[in-house]
Amino acid sequence: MMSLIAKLPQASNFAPLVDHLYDFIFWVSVVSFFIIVGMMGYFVLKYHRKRKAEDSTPYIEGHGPTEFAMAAVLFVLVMVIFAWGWMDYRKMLHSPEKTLEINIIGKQWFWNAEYPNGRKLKDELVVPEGADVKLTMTSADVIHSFYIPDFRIKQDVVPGQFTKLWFKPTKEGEYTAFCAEYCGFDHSRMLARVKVLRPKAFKKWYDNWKDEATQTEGDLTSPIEKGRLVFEAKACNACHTVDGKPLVGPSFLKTYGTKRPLEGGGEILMDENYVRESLMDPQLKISKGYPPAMPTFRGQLTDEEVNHVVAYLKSLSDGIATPAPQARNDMVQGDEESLEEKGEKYFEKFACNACHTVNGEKSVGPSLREIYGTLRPLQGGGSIEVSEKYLKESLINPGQYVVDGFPNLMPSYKHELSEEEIKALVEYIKGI
Amino acid sequence: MEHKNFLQEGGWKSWFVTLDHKKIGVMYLFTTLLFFAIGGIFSTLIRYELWTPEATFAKDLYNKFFTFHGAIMIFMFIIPGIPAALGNIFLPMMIGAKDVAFPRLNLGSYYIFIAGALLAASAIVFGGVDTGWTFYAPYSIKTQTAVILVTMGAFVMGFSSILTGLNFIVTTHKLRCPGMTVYKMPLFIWAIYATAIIQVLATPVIAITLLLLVMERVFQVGIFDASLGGDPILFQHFFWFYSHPAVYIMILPGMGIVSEVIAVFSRKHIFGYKAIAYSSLAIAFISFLVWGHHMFVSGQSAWANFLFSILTMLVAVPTAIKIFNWTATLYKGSIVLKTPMLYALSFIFLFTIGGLTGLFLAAVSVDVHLHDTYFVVAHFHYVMVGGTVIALFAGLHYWWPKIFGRMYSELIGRISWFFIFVGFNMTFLPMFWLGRQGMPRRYATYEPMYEGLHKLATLGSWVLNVGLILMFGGLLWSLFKGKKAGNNPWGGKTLEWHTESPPTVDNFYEIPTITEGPYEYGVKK
Repeated sequence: MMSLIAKLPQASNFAPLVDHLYDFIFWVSVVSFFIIVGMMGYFVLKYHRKRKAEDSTPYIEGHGPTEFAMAAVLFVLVMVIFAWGWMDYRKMLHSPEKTLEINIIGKQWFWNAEYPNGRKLKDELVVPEGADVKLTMTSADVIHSFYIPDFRIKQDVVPGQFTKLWFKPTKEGEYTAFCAEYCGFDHSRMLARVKVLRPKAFKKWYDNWKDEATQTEGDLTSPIEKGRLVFEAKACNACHTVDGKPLVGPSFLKTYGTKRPLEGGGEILMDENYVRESLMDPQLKISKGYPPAMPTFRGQLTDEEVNHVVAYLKSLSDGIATPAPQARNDMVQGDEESLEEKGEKYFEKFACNACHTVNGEKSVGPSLREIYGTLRPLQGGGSIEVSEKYLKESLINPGQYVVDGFPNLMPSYKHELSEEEIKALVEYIKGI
Repeated sequence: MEHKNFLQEGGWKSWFVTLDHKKIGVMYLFTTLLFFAIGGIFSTLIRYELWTPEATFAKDLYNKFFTFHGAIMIFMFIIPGIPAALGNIFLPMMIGAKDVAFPRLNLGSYYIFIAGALLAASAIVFGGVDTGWTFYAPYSIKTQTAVILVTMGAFVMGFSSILTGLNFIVTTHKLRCPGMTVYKMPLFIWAIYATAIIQVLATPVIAITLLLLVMERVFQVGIFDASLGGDPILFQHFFWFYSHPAVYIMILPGMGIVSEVIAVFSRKHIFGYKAIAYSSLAIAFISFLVWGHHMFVSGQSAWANFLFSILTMLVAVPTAIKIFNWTATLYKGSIVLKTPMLYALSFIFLFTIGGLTGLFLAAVSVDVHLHDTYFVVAHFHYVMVGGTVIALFAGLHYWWPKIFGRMYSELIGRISWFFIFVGFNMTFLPMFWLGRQGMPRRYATYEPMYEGLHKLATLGSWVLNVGLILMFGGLLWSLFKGKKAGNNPWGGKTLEWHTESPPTVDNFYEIPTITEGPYEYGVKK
């Protein structure tokens, strides 16, 4: 039985704080509970009808002073608990100046992490013991919540905005991160391994990756560099300079992290959320002195690309010189790529591979190996030939014809895929 | 006797068009208990799935089970359970009236409730729904399941709730018998009145929210869906603006029942009548200002978290006043442990645990760890089942002889109470530790470290089921074989005990006049 209620490890700077208050409330509760239930039990035994006749009870309407005293004591007690909880929570809110910043994107049903040097991990997070770590998180689909019980930290991961979470891991070891906000079919399998390494081991892990990467197909471009490429590819530089000269829109030299005056009064801190909002809804908050001319980039930038633009803009404030462009990058695609090759990339980019394998193994959804041109049985009877039309329809309206034996789970990609991307995906699937 | 009782009057067809508040109440009672049974079957399936860490059913099936369990229990059982069933029967009788203020509206409310319930339940046939009872956007917008049917069902049932609340408010104001000043009203009436106010004020907000959700799904208007420029957090604000006060719609009537039962079975004037009455209103008022505590980790502003944490802490004060007063009522009483009293005392026991564990969740830093874990599941069930449902059982046994004119079996009543009390604690107490250790809620599969406590909880759910089956079996048996009940088997002083058992259609032969309060027990010095 003791093992059933074993203590959870305290593996972050916040764990002892949370546990301390938890224990305090626990003992306050235990004492209050035994006072109330003890009184109740004592009265029931002492004044049971066997011992006390029905017509012998005194007439008592109440006692104001006891009532008031009890309420006053309780009020003070709950205010103490409130203040204690609030003061600890404030520490969770404000991260130190210098942190290891990792971008997290939650997707049904996995976690993507991206490090400042461009290293990417799936369903895994590696952090150094004793260092301050800050996660900047967003979701590609529905609300998730990043939760590491051993660290006592949790933060919802919301589509359309960035949320932040910081902590200092204090104990080397392996821990589990859960998704704590219900997100559908595989919610309970949306886990990530969290490895806390000694600082030296972490540095080795972090740096050595470049050697590994050059040997494999790894992508050495840093998020800042990727951001610069997006900035050029989407022609942001047509209106925004990075050298301090205003053009159609404001320049971004040393603007990130500062307060920007707004048209119509007020000001706003230029942070992740303001950059994202300005990309998606540029007309909401206009910089003072500039025309409301910017078009929306909704649907044209992935969450990852937004992260990269943020990293780039941030770097313009750090005074860090932008690194030299790398020869290879996957952001600006050459024309020589075939439709099928593009499709293969989209297959990963849109996480089709999270549910569909290409090797014939059954997963959440059917494998897509050699299915083109075959007849597939449908849920509720009948069958359908896998044609270009059917593949396209399954992307846009997946619930229409569900293959027998699989759950009706696939989300619609109607708003997420362009005509071009659908074509490429269909072409790729045909050839699997 | 020349006067027939309300059950005999008119034959079986009269039930469908009856304007008698008691018949409507009895129909609500059996309908909501039926939904309680269905919701209970789903909860048993949930516990069965969680017997092992791996998936027993397909995961999407599990997700539908917990959604149905939550939606059915909340919208079709707990919300209408006490007010619309027991409140309907006893509000008019306890204030010395013949019926509610608007009998036709009352029948209309019942049929609206049935229509909404059927609409929502039809989702079971049309593929089910897997959003959880909270319908969080944007998942509820993206899922391919029958969200629209269930939300429209809840929308329709909301109108039934609003109309019932309106009816009760007017009835309480206008139909009290001569002499019944507000401070001579039984505390059950105060509780029902406070509940009715919340029903009328809060329910329209959920109606709008659910309607917006349906529009979002059908027309993609872009209010909650971030990919259309909406804000998913806005949905949570709307949803909890209703659903938090709704928690008090569920618990306040239960508190009313406990106040009645404890006074009667200890032959004492209730301790601190006005304190209990006004704490009901205070809870109803504060309940509108605490919704944000469901969103401490949603990313809402720190300032909001500050306010919602401090306001939530305030709820502890009126709640504790009530618990203190009930316990103090026992002092120097003459206590007899009949089944209703066993349930009322269990209520104090369980609700105290439910209330105290709320402190953990109201403290922001601790909530960061416990949010969306089994700790919340346990806390919620201690309040809603340990509180409301246990109070409903107290009321059911207490008023059973009055409604049906037959005594329930005291032996079966006590045995089933024992199984329910032990089974409930066995099921839900382990969940506090599960949550403490980080087990997230709504997981079809889980890490092996949680297996022991989950097994204990599942075993508990079976013990609980044995108790429930025994209790309902015993009650049904008593309808046919129970001893004939006298008019006032418990020696109660409130007005319903001055009627026949079962009451006649008009309740009273002549409208009574009140000279003293409802709890005049004991020897005045």
